[in-house]
Amino acid sequence: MRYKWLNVEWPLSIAQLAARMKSMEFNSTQQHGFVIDKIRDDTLEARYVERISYTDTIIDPFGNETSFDRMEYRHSAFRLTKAPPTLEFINSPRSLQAVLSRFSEISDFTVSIEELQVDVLVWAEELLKTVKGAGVLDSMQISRLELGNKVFAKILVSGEKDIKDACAQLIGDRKHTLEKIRVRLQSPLKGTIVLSNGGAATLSIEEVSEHVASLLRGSLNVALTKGKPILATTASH
Amino acid sequence: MNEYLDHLSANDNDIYDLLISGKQRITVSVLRELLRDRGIFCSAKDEREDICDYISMIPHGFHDIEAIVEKREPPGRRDKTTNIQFDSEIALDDIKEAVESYMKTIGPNEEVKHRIGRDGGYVIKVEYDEFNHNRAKLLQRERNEAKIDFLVENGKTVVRLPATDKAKRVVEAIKECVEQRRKAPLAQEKVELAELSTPELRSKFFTSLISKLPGFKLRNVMNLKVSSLRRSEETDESLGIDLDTAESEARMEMFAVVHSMALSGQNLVQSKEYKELSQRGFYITHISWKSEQIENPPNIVQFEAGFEDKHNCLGFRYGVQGEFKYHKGSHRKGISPVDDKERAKYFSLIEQTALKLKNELLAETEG
Repeated sequence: MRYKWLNVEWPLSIAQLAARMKSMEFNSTQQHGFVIDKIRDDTLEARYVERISYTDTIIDPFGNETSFDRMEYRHSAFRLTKAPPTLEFINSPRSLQAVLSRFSEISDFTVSIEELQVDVLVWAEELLKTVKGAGVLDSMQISRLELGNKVFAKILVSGEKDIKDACAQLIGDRKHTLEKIRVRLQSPLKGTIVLSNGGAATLSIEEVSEHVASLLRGSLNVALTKGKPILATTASH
Repeated sequence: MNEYLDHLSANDNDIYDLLISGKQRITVSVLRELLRDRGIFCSAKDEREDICDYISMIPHGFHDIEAIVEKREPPGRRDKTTNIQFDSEIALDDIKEAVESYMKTIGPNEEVKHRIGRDGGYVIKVEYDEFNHNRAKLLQRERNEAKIDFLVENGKTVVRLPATDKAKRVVEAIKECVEQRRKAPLAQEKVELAELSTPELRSKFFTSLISKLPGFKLRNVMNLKVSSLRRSEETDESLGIDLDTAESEARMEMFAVVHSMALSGQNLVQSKEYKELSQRGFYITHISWKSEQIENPPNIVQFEAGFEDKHNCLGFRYGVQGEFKYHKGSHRKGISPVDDKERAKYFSLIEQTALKLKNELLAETEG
């Protein structure tokens, strides 16, 4: 289960957006469009579906060509909210360009969408707070750790116990970018969550529920407001 | 005699300039090949400059030089395309007559070929020389080709031509000739936005163009050029005050003013920067974007469109830069050229959409 959050500034209300998405509804005659799942005053859950048809050609060892007409569906499920983080993608396809372009179109090119910049350490710690400490940070991916004299290291740290202190010792006061952190949760939420600094989370938990998603959203919001001064130093190089 | 010879033939210095300036195309291996053709071998350790120097000193015939110039020139660069639409069908005979009378007026360095097109239109190919005195002496004469298509359909004649001065002059001459034969002026329609006075409407033309291109869905906007209208207001104001122009000019120079900007990146129309610029009264004057074809095959085509005169939005020109082919579930990374038939199809899509949008937007301002 993957989640990806983005910061969107909508010039329209949820109801207006839903109305415009309905005008681009996906059905059997349409090649692409929106499917709306749920509308509330402050949230909108929907999917953007694309039907891709293409011809696959296979050449056998004797040079004969066989072609197959194939069809694929690309789904981008998302959730819009009034409160930040304003846009959430669930198990998004690799490229979000198609759906983001549709957002531009339904808002007459007045929407602005940008990737989040999160301090993952703050995010992970907030997340641990909300689960009352039932978990540890067991892996960290650090890039551009300055070793001095324009030499940089990319490091993957992992451990069986909490690695935070060991990492702090290793980094010291060197410049670095913290890319990803893995949080290992103990029961009741058994599994791991990988948080990345672009505002994405990959969950490997037995039971993914709305509860976990809301925990992630809550801690992300705290990290976004709290983490700003730290971000300034990481962004400076 | 010697004075004239210098103008008529290339000397060693010209040949050296020709070789040394084309670093990208005249590589060391090309230079070695030139020598090998003459049965001369040079050391692999020789520097490019030394080989150029050596080659320029050996005797060259006319064809030798021509071969080097040919190697030096980049293969047919593509100009952007523009179009003019006439409101009536022009008979092919009329076009033919007009071209033939135009051919009587051309100089010896110009060559015109014309024929009836495969799908009923008329095709004119004009080859001509252009002089560019900034280049090395042997490269100053550039041979260019302009392909002008006349497409007659649905009571209209669409002329598609390269966005160059020469092509425009040729079309203008042909148009005059046709008018003389018909003894009536031809009403022409161009995509121009000078009458749209607000930046919002001018930007809307482009945003609608990229989102409403039939059969395509927008994927990405990679390049944007934006301009502001403010400059014209300033010049209009200063027109009234003739007394202290010098002073007001000096004052104008003192302020930092941004008239236009070029942005490049990914998904630009969603960026905060674009949003801010459009709120501050900047409008789009050029855009390059990728769209995915909805029908099979779902190739991604890269387009560009813009105005020659950014300020008044005159001279609409456009191009198809290439396509990313769909292959086994994903798009290829490399861009490949679009074949002529597809290109013509895409051009007519852009032309029709642009003209329709222009008329809609004009109706919006009037209504």
